[in-house]
Amino acid sequence: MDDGIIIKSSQISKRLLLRYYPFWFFFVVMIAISDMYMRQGSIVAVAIFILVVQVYTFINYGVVVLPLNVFKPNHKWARLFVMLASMLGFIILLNILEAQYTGDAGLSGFGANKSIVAAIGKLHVGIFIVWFLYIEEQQYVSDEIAKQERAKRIHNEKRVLESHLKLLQAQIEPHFIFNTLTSIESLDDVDPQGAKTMQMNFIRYLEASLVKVRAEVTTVGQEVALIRSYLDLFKVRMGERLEYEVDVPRDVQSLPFPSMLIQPIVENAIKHGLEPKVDGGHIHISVRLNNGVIRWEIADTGRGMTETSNFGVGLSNIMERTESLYGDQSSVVVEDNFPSGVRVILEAPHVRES
Amino acid sequence: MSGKANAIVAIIADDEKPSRSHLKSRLLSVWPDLSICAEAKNGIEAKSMIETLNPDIAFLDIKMPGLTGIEVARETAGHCTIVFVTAYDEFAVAAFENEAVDYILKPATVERLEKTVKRIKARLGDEAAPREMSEIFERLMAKMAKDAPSRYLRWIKAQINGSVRFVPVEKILYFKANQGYTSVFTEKSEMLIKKTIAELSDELDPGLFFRIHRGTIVNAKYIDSVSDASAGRHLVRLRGRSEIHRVSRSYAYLMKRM
Repeated sequence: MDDGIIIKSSQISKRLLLRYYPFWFFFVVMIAISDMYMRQGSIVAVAIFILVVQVYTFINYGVVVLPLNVFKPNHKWARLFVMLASMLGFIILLNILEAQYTGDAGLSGFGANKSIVAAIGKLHVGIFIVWFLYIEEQQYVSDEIAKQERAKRIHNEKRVLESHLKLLQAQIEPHFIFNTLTSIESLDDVDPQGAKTMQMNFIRYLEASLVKVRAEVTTVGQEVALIRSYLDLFKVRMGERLEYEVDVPRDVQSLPFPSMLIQPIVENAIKHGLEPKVDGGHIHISVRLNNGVIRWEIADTGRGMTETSNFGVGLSNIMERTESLYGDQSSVVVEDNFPSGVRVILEAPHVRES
Repeated sequence: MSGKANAIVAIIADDEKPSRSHLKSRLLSVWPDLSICAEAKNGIEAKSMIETLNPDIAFLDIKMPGLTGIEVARETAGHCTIVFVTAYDEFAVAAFENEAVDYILKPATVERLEKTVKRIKARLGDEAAPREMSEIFERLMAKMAKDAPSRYLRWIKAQINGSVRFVPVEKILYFKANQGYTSVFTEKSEMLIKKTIAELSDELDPGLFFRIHRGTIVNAKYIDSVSDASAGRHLVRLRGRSEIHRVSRSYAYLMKRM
C-alpha cells in the first residue's frame, strides 16, 4: 500500500555515492583484475570493463530504479523483477562487448574450461549489481518509512499535548484571573452583594473548568453551566455592553458531550466580537438534538470578522478537536451573522455510552 | 497641598466599570488631593473629555473599544500628562520600557501606585513638547502593532448555500484558477471564490502555500509526493487525492526548498 512516502532522487544518489560507492568501486576493480589474470588481458580491457560496469549501474539506477521508487515506493516484487531483468541485461551486454573486443579469442589461458569460467565471472558481477542496488534501496526505503513514521508519531503526540496545554491555558489565563479578581475587589467597596455573587461565579467556573479538563467527557448541561458562569463573570465587567441568553431544552442537558468544546467559541465571541465594539452586543446560544445530531449554535452581534482576523486561533483548535473525536461525522461552520457579528454552528453525533 | 485652589484634575478611561472604580478608589487613597472629574467608558469618550475638560492627567486603559489608550494619547498629544493603565501583559510592559511615559499595572497595588504617583507629581508640568510626545506614542503604537492581525489570510470567505462562510486556510488543500475565478478545494468540498490566483498568492502565507503553477496554489502541508524523475519536470500529488499537479519550471525552485 501507498502511505505517502516522499522519496527524492537527489537524496538517493547522494547516499549512493557517499555510503556505498567506495566499496562498490573497490569490488568491481578486484573482479576486473582477477578477470584480467584469468584472460591474460590488458590494462585497457580492465579499464573498459570497469567503466562499462559503472556507467551501466548508474543508467540502470537512474532510468529504472528511481522512477520505480518515486511512483511505486512499496512494490517489492516489482522491484525485484526489474533488478533481475537488469542483471540479465548486463550479462548480455558484456557478452556483446566481449565478442566485439576479443573476437572470441580472449580466454586462451583456460583451455576447455574457459567459457565456464567466463560465465561464472559475469554472473558474479551481475549478482553483485543486483545485490548492491537491492540492499541500498531496501535500506533507504525502510529508513525513510521509519523516519516518516517517527515524525508522524512525534507530531501526533505533540498535538495531543499541545491541545491539552491550550485547554489548561485557556482556563487559567493570568489575564483573566487578574481581571476577575480586580473586579471582585473593586466591587467589594460599592456593591458587596455583587462582589459575593461574582466570587461564587468565579469559584464555580474554576471548579467546572478544572474538573472538565481532567474528564474528557461531561454533559451538555455541564458545559452550559460553565459557559453561564463565564458569561456572568464578563457581565459584571462589561455591564450593559454584554447581553446573553442560553436556550437548552431539558432533555438535551443530560446528553454526554466532550469537555471544553464550546466554551472557547464563546470566549472568542467576547474577545474578538463584543469587547472591541463600543456598544458591545448580544450572544445567543442554543443547543438542539435532531436525528442523533447535537447542534450548537453560538451567534454574536459583535464586530464580525475579516479574512485576516486572528479570530480563528481558538476556532481552528476546536475544528481539529472535533475532527479527531468524530471525523467526518462532525462539522464546524463559521459564518457571518445578520446584521453583524459571527455565527458558529457545531454539529456532533450523539454518542450513546455503552 | 490640600485646600489649594488649583488642585490637580484627572480623568480615568477604562471600558470596565469595576476597573474604573477600583483605580479611582486606590488613586484617591494614595493621592487624596487629586480631583477625578470624569470617567470615560471608551476611547472616543476619553478623547472628547480630554479635549473639552482639559484635565491635568489622563489615566488611559490600553485596551478600549473605539480607540485604544495609545491612539487617544497620540491624538491628544500635548493636552495633558498621560498615564497608561494596562493589565498584566508582558508585551505591553516591554513596550513601555525605555519610553518616557508613565504606566500603571492592573490590578494596581497601593505600594506600586505610590511610586508611580510620586513620579507623576515630580514630572507634572515639565512635560516634553507635544511633538516629542506624539513621536513617543507613535513608537508605542508601532511596537503594539506586532500584536495586530497577521498580514496573511487566515480565512477564505465564500458564499455557500446563501450564507457567507469562513473556511480556515489550514483546511484548504489547493486553489485552482477557474475562468477568472478560483476553485477552492477542501477535503470535503469545493467552492468558487471571486479572488484570482494572483491575488491569493500575494495574500497567502508563502511559507504555508506554494504557488506551483500560474493557475495552482497548493497547501504545502498536504503535499504527499513530489517527483522529479523526468528531466526536471516536477509533479505534485496531495494527500488523499488522486489529481496530479504540474509544477511549472519557473516555480520549480519551491520544490527544492522542501
